[in-house]
Amino acid sequence: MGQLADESLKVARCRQGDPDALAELREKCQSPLLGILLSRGADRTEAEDLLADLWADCVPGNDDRPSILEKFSGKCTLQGWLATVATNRWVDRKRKQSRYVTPGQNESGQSEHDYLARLEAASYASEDTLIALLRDCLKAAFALCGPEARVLLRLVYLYELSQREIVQMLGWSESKVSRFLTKAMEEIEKHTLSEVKKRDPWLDLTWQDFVELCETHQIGFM
Amino acid sequence: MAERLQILLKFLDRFDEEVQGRELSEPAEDAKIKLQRFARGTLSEEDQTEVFVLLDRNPEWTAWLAKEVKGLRQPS
Repeated sequence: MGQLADESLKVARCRQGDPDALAELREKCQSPLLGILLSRGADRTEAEDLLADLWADCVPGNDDRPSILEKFSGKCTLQGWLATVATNRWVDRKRKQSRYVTPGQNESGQSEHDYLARLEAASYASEDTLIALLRDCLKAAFALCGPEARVLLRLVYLYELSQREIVQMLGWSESKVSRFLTKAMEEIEKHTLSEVKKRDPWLDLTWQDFVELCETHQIGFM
Repeated sequence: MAERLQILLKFLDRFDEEVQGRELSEPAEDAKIKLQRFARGTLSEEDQTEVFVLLDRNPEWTAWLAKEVKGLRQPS
């Protein structure tokens, strides 16, 4: 049985509140998820609190509250999905903490920029916090590329034209096309991660983390 | 690296589709002619720059251009 098929059986048992399946899930994922949250910048207490809440939410409630696992599509690994949910909750929590303003602080010299930054942060609270962050950082990075790079990247990576076809269209050499695309991708990576740092300095995402979170959001949620 | 970029482009497109309710719109006739010439590699550098801006403003036309280029492939 494949990993995803095997997991979907276990998830079905968890959704029904099977205590053995829930204990098994926690046993298997607690340590890796803790490691992921720590590597992304959470401190141990934050990470342990988040995971305790996450496991509690995996259990369906007596008041007809469904298990959070009802939202899992089964199209990605369960651990990857749980890591995305936990990271989202952590970012959300940190944002709320950073938005908290001590009474009187506004009068004592909070700059307009700080105020606007807080307003922007507040706007994330109404939607999926992490996804809004990923989307906005990625959009900002693409916006810094020229139209040439944005169009060529779409033609090659989304619509699967070959680099040879691009060579024929533009009259460039193959090495120029290849260098251009590589540089554009590197710029997007650099600008995206720098946007993340600018918006949430406490969040440590690698490029691989970033891409995995985007992918999980795309396929992992019902 | 290529696979990663594909994931990211699809991720972004999903939001754009949600926001714009994007349809597969065909380019206007004059734009079609330019895109067909672009596909065949017969546009000057200056016109290429213009087409890049046009496609950037109308990303849904990129699919049309890609189809046009694929139509030029020799049957294997």
